[in-house]
Amino acid sequence: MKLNHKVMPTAWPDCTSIILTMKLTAIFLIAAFIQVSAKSFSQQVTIRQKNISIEKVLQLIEDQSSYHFLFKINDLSSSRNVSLELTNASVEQVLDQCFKNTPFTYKIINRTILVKKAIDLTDPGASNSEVLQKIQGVVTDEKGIPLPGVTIKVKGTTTGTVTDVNGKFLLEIPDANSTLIISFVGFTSQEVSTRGQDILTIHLREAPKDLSEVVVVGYGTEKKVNLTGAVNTVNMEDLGSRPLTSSSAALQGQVPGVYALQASGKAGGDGATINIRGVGTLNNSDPLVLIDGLPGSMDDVNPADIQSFSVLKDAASSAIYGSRAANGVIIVTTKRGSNKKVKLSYDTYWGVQDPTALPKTMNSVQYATLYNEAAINTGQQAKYSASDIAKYANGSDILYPNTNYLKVFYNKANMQNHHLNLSGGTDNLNYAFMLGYLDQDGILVGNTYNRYTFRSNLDAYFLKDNRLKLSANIFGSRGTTQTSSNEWQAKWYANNAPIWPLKNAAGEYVAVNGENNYYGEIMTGSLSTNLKSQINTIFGANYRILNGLTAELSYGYSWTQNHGKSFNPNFTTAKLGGGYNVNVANLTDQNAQDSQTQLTALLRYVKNFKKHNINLLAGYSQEEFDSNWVSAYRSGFVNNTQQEIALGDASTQTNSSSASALGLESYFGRLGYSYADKYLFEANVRRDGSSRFAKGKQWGAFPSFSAGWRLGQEDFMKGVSWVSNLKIRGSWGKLGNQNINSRYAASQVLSSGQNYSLGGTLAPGVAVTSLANANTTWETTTQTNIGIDASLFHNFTITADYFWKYTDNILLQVPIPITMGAYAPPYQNVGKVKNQGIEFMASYKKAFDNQMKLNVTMNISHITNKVTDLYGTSPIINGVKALVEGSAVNAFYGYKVSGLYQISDFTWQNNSDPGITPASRQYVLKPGVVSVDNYSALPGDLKFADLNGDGKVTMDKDRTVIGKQFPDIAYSAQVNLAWKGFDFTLFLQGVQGINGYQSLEIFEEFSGFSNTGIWWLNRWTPDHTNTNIPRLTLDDARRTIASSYYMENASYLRVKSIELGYTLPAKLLQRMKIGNFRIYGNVQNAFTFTKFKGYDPEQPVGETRAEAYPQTRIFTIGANVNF
Amino acid sequence: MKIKNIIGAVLILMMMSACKKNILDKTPLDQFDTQTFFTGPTQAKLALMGIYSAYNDNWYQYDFMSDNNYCQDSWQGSLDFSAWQQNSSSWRATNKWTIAYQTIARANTFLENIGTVTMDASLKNAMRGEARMLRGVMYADLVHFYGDVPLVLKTLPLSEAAVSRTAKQTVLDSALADFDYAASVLPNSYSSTDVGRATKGAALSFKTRALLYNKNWAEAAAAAKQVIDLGVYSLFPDYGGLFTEANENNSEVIFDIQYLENSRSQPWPSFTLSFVVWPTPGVTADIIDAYYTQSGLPISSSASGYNSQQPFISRDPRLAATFVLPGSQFGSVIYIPASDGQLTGARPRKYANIGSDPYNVGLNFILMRYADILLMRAEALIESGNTSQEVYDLIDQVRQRTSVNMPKVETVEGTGLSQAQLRAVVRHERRVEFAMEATRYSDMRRWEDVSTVHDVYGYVIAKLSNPASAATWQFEREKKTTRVFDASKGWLWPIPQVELQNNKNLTQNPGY
Repeated sequence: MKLNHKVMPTAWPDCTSIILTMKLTAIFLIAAFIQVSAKSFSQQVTIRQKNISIEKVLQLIEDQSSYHFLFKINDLSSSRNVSLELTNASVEQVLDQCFKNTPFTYKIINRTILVKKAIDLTDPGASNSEVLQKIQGVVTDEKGIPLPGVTIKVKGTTTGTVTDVNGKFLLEIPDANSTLIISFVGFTSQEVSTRGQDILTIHLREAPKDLSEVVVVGYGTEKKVNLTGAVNTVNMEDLGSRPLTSSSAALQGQVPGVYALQASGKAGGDGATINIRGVGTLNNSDPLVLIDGLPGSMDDVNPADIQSFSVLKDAASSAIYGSRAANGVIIVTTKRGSNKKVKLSYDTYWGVQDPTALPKTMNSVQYATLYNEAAINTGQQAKYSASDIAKYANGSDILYPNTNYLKVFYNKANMQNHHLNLSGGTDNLNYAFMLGYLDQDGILVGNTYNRYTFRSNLDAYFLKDNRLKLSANIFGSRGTTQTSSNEWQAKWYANNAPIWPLKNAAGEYVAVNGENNYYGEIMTGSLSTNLKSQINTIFGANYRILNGLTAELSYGYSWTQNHGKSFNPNFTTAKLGGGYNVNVANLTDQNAQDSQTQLTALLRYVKNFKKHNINLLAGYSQEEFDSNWVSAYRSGFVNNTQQEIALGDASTQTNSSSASALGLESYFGRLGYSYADKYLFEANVRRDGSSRFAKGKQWGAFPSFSAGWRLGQEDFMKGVSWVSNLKIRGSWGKLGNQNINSRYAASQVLSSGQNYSLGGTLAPGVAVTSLANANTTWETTTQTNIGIDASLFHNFTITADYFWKYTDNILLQVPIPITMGAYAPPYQNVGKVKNQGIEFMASYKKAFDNQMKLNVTMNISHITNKVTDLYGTSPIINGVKALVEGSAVNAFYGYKVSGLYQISDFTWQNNSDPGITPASRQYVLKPGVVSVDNYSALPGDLKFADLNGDGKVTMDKDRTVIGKQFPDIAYSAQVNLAWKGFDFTLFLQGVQGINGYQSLEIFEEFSGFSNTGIWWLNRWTPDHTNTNIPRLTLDDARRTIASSYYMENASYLRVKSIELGYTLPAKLLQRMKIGNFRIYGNVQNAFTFTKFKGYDPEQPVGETRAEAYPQTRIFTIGANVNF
Repeated sequence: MKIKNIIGAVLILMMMSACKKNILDKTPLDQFDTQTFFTGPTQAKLALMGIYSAYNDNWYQYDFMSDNNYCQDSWQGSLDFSAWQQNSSSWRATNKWTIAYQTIARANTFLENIGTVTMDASLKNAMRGEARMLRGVMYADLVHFYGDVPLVLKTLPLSEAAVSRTAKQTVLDSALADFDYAASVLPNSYSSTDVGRATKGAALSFKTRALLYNKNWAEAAAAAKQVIDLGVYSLFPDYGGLFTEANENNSEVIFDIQYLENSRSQPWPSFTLSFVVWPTPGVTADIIDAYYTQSGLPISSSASGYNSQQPFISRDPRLAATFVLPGSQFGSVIYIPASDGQLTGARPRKYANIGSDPYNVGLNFILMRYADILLMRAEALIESGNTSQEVYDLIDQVRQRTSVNMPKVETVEGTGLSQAQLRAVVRHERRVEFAMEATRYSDMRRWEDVSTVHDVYGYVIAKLSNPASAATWQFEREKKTTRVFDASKGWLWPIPQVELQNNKNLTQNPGY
């Protein structure tokens, strides 16, 4: 610890009276004081030093005891040095010896030692003609708990003191009628009159936390209370110790208006897709993510390295990133060192994962019985004889199994995570080093992931007054994801019908449906490995030219390599009818490299005069992206263990490559102005150029404006005691987007790879495959936001926002006639999308008398997303999804089921003679009953709504929007409870009003060789007509029609995390030299409430088959240790 | 202050070095710029091969839509057509349209740019001929399937995207002009490294087909004669071997689509025909029964010697060469319908791959072979009222191929047959000669023969479980699925729905 009496006076350079300083930690950390007061005071001091300053002596006493000093600064600095030789002496002994023959004396008040010139203490009047009065007092919080370190100042003077560990103070005041200003970090300042009082009791009221909170915004920081845009900040420590393997998943449920969809539980692939305020474009709608200023991907950061992230939602807050910010901005700040003592922390957890949900499917007997029914319904013979079904029921014949393939492919899987963080610093150098290791097995057979991360954040200060700051951030990671060579096939085969034997009596893997046995192939060595290596560096210089004027320059470089190897082994399967399928091994070896450079230059100017506060920023940035990829293939490998291209058959080799580059250049500026911290205004402008566009179309300018009014600061609100903070704010701005799939959409090119072969030799060819459009330019998002922030009753904080977001000139590949040449359509600036929504966030904090602390946060958002203009091409249908004017982006599209055809809809032979058995009837639809174009309907078939009323359901006229992929409402709630050493966290998250389309496997009866959902037992039969599930069939013309029958309600409420932790008592730990030790248990995705019948309702956007890699429920135990 | 200056200078230097090059100036790295590409013969050939590569259909699936075969999987894209329940959103209607117009556009781009290329003039014209032949094939195919179609002969700007349908005859005339030009500039054959490129014979053959399909009998017969008179082609002796990789580019092949394992294999789902995967394409009882016995008589004839429980004895050798029949050998396997699960109890053999990777098939698909020229000329002569001996000779040539050796028409049916009788003979001959070669479906449609659209029959596969005993090896036919001709749709395919949607100037065919 360091005495701060050299630093403190600079804050009050004109100080003439007593300036009292003490340990910095004592001022700022109440917690530290609680610890101090808990331990017994050490009275023994050992000092053996020659010729040291009195200051140094006092510091040594502070270090060895629990006393602290108050003294008059000018006096001490002028004192001569002393020599001491004392062992286990009392503090009084040391001080007596120390001050012997000096003009100083001291006085011990509780644990505070007051040092003064002897004359001041003995006779105040002797050195000062003023009659000084003494006033004593105690400062507590609202519940009466004493507050140490509170600053007491006499109003209008520079005289003051601080409270001691018991919250007490003693102060000399110039006259009996003074006013004291009592202030303390985290509490609302208070003024108290001393008139007629000797002993004051002052209760300080806790200030709402966010009043002092500083949030990271674009190219800087801002006090939260002064924000005029819609910005949310999440501190990672608030998330507890959830076993987050991907940083993007940490966003889930944390910020209203941010929809983070964690689509998979795959080890090494469980990142979330993030949409901020709906889907604002028909192109890539991922937000811009900046990691310590360098664009990147959330999942390239170890979650444990993150200090906090800020989400910039509205146009005003993100406009400074103009061109890239149309989908919102996420600013990730990693942990940095500070000039405190060295801190080493270690976090670890160990867990086991299993699938959250697997579909319920049939057993072999059910499958075979119903398959026969379907075959007969289709006019075929029954496939399984009674003796076959008896064998399935019996289960003793290995070729007639009852295998639940979901359990074959999905299993419990372990994971462990370790993270070390060493941080600290001096006045001139701050450092933080982080090391992370994650080892995770996937629940799907063959899937594993491990990742090593390293991060070093250094800040060094140079020159007078630390005018120059140089920083270096280095991040490296190496992640290895393993799956079977074709993960899709593994997920697909997990749906296999239970009747397929895994192995025959000879122990050979049996070909499923005569094709393959993917489980056997995985066991034999089907392996896909992706090694992702990454290095990100950012070097920055920050130079304070004048007070208030700063120049910054930073250079970032990021390099990512993905080296993928996919090996299909030599593998033989036995066919049920005899013979074998032999797969010859092959290997694909791919290497992709992406590099990115960013140069940013900033000039900042801050000026405060009177009540005006001006804040200026000007900047320039340029970025370059280079990507290249090479791939090689060979087959004919002689063994399954040596997976190197060179060992394959050279005559089978093929290879390929690609390369592309992108450049971006930007100029930007910001003007911030506030008056009296009440009236806030900000304007941003950014001018961006992108190499994606043709010359003349490259540049776009994007302005924004925002304003805020802190009503809470107005005099007329002073009387409203239950409102401690109130602000209304509004913003408007335009943002750009150029993030389309192609980097060269404006250049007409001939693509290679359009090859032919001539006489057994490859004849390379080129052709135009997509049409260019040199007229494309920026798409523009215009967003308006109004919001309110309030702190009420000292416990509640509320934030509400309403926004309108219009994206136009969307770079849309509007379909063009095939007769043009079947080209991929060119991008045109034509589409329009509208997002509109309301976001609400509330939190409640309360500390109870029994030391229990409660913290509840909830947020909810409702966003409507609508395609408003498709340039006359609506609907653009893509399978079961479509872009339809007036509907949400990529809505599900198909027939609407209106019920089932019943027998009463038909006539049959002999004037519908009921004596004819259903199987022998030749049904004819009654006149007036709607028919289907795709097939001749029979009783039990799905009946679709005839939307145009022409009596016939046709593909071209009767399809419509049947569901949407984005929720109406997303909500979450988090409860934190702490009591003594225990902490408990409950985190709920859910979405409402969202659909999933589930077809083919499991959802469609007997699709391919997949199993069928158990709910099909409730299908329509002539004897069971009161159902919404159609009759069974094997007829694809019936089964595969896209309709609302396959729409599932994908709403869910999930207990995302439950955590119980215990922090060991400090007393116990001090003996072990451990600062803090916490152990906890956590259950992630503990329970899910949903009607969804497939895998987890949270599945990839656009997934239309029952093949998603399910989410995982994770049980972890872990520990956090600080040294 | 000094340090401050140094820092300032460094900052300015860094900024200047960064701004030196224009980072917004990026040109494609792994693609060619159309403006500057066409320079010499190498580039011309690359662009020419780009045209060929677009012509890549699922050829064998055309028979799935005919009375020769039945594919029960809708995902293969022929089920709806096969059931005569196709609609304007049917995948195959869009796919064919796409392949055709993609090939046409590539040919147009080539023809527009070849002029500036510096190269030998006759080679340049030959290349033009190849491009025009391929374009002609596409237009002839388009009018055959869709009737009137937009005739696009140049690269269209976006503003002219909404083209209208052109009268069928105009489109056909354009195709014939393309064939004629091609025939005038193309060589008769190529050296080995260029085998597979369009030849004079190919241009004349596709001209023959276009004329025949459009009932232009006399001209069709004349064009076929031109091909025969070239003297380049002859029947390949081994009928079954004609369709194997070992015999690719043999003397009978006039034009085929060339494939190559690994680097340019057959399009997905080529494995459909593979014996190791997906038992889906079902050979109908109808086509099996259509083959005569070696006597040259149909099985319905009591003199044919046909035994319904030993149905494959003494049949036209083309039957066993074309199909994997119950109890027959395919590779190392004896085909047992009961354990295969195939719906009709027989599978295709022609073009089916044995043993090799079913997802990586390099076998060429023959679109035009000499036997077709012979039978097309015979048909054209018959339809123009010529029933001379030449007609018999043409058909007999095909029937008496060394490995087939079926009796001459005269021997079985007698001489002096009427036009109608000969028409029946040549139509039957086409069916058995070209089964699984993608021509039957077109023949059904151009003959407008409603009798060819009927229910699908196959064997009761459960009764074909063990050839060792008569009790477990019984040939019994049963109905597999219903197929009914939809007269309202007629024989034309629908204009793709997506095309109608993106081009308001297009109209739909009747019935869709």
